[in-house]
Amino acid sequence: MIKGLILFALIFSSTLFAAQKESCYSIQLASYLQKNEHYINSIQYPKECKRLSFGNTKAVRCGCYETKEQAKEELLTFKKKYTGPIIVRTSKFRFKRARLLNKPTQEIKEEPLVLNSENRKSPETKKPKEKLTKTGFSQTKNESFLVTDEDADYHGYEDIPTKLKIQYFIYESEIGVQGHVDLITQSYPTRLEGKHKANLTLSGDLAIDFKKDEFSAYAKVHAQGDYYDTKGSSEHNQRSFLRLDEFYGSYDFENDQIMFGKNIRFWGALEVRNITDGFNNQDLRSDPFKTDKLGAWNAAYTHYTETGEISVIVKLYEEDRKLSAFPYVYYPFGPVDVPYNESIRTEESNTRPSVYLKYSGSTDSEYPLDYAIMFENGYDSQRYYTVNTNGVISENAYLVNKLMTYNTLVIGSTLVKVEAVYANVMDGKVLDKNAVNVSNPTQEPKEVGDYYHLGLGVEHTLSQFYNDADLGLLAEYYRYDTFQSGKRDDLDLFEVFQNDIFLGFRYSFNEGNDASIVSGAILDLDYNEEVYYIEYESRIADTFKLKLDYRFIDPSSKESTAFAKMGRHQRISANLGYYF
Amino acid sequence: MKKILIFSLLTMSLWAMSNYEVAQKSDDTMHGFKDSKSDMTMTLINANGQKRERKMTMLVLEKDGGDKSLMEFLSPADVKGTKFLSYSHIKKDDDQWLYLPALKRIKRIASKNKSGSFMGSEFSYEDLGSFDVDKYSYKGEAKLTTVDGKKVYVGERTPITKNSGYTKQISWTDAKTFLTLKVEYYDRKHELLKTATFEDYKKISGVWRIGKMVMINHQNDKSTILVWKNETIKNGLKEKSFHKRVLKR
Repeated sequence: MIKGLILFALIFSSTLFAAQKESCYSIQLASYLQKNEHYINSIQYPKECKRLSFGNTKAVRCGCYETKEQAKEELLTFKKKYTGPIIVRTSKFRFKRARLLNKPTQEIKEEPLVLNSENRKSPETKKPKEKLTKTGFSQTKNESFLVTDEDADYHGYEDIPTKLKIQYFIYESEIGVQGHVDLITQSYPTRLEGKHKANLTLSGDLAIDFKKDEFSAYAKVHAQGDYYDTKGSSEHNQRSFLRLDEFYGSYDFENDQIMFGKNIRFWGALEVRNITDGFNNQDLRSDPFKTDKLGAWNAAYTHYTETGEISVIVKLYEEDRKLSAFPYVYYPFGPVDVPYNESIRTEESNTRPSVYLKYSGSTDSEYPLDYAIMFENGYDSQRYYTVNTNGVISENAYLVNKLMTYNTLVIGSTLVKVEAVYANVMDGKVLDKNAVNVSNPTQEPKEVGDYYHLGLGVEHTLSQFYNDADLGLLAEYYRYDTFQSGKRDDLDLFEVFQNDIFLGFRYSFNEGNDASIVSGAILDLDYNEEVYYIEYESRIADTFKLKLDYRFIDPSSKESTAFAKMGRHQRISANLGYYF
Repeated sequence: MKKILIFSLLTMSLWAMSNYEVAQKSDDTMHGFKDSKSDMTMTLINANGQKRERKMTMLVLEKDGGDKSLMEFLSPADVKGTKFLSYSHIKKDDDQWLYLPALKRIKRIASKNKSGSFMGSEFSYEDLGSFDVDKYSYKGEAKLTTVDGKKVYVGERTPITKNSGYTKQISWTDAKTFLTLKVEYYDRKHELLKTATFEDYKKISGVWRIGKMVMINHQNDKSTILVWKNETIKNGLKEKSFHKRVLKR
């Protein structure tokens, strides 16, 4: 089933992409019902224009331009002679076919530039108004049966049949399709016993965007297929799915925007861990070292000021999260498979909305600052996991009043970054008194307490470090703590960045393939954990992208940290992506 | 004889122009477009002659204190939708942001060093920024010479900012139209680094606009051709079109 859906998505995307390439922009001078063609036959058009059929209607269109800007340039020429020409999208094949059709009928052949509408600016255009009124469209005061466009003002638009209106709506819009398909192979030379020693994943994204005037819409689906899900059930990783990530529409006013739908937002400034980026949750079936967020249904209103914006965002509910199965190397709950209840546990309903207020902007000073301050009343992005008496793991969410900020200060070639969170927990009490902590099953269940999380970072760029290559040096520090004792602490909450330093670099080759190497070390100062990684990526033949990475994790030998649950770990990964 | 002498002196005084005056006139010639929309194609040619093409759309808002520009990448496919917003300033570093659509992330860029390569091309950010007379210092008079039967002024200018990748630039300017025809760029070691030739000028709504720029790097034998297509000016673009909000649209 999943495989079929993935295949369908890929075929669908290729078809759309091909269709997009096969269309062009034209100038439309007239449209009319086929039955009224005899009136149009008396009209003389530029010889390069074609008469195209769309069901029982026809249109006179000129030119087949690759870009809308090119068509706009030509539109200016036509507007000098006629009022009302519009830019429309046309399939290229129609022009090829039209040339053949026009030949025998000679309808458009070698005739001077004349149109029979009285409102044409051409001096030759003095045909009687009555003819126009017999074309099948009832006339508006400008007596035109054409769909015209004066700064997107459709004269006579109301008189056009609905089917045509839809056609014109589509033609006047910009539709874009893009996506990619990735083949990812990973090998884990060091891993917990019983887990797969390698993995092969095929995944793909398909995104469609639509823009018309101030309205825009966007949809993105993500499909993933795991090799082990095609094998026997004991080997299943449960990582194959088709997921709607985004599906939203927005409308822009002069200084405001409204938006509704499912989308993904990014809030943050740091490199390794964005502690303020909690609007969307990570999919628990994904590679934890790759950002793979779940879309969230929300409504938003944004007011733009001269240098920034103020937003009110209402997230409509907390989504249940699915989990990968034990044999997958990144299954998070230790060396054995534990049943998982994917319904999120909350004290109030999970449809209780979370409200976010966000104020952000930039200063125009000697040392420019990008800043953002946010307040949230709703479900925290931090979660905890419990095992009930039946041995079933559940994800628990609780309500907070949360203050967040992320900032980037520019000092010459150096960026100074700060992210900070303060959370006041509103309903952190134990939901199931018989359930125990996943991190430490022998402990009594604990409540969630107020906490803070701080991240400080510096990024300094040495331009043209070697030939054209740039070298970025990165250093970050993270601190997490709770304010009350006896509450759930970082270990209970699987918070990895509680007292950690990150040191790394980014080497950008600055050549045609945009190749880069990123490497770093994360050192835990409390639990003596170490993570090392190096990533390389480069474009191949402008269509493919190759990503290679190596990671090594040396977890705490004493404490039950998230890394300790995963065990000592090494991986080598290769990702080949095809982009369209 | 006296008349001839006066005429000669007048002519000479007309043609004798300081480097600053030539630069000022050249700037004036290209000034007044208010705003611009164009499609850009950048062809990267390596030392073996292999070509790679990049496509972008570009919006520019002309401003006295420094232009604002928004560039959206259309190809290669993996960077499609990536946007680069820049507020250029004459007396301080530019403000620059990059929008990465895959992550929905707006990244602040430190723009102090202007000599870095733009998208792996032979153009630096500095080369692509709008020309402004006040960004350079000038000395002496421009030399009037003839190239391919065309009178041109040849002059030298030195970037004021210490963050420039160049120690000097020598420009060839058409003596009749004051359009820049060629610029030679000298690196920090005072060696010839690159030569840019400016071609396909066209007058759009009374303002000269460039159609093609070829940059040849003499030190690595690579070159880049930048072509502007479908350019329209005075479109009525407002500050709103260059607000950070447009990055996410």
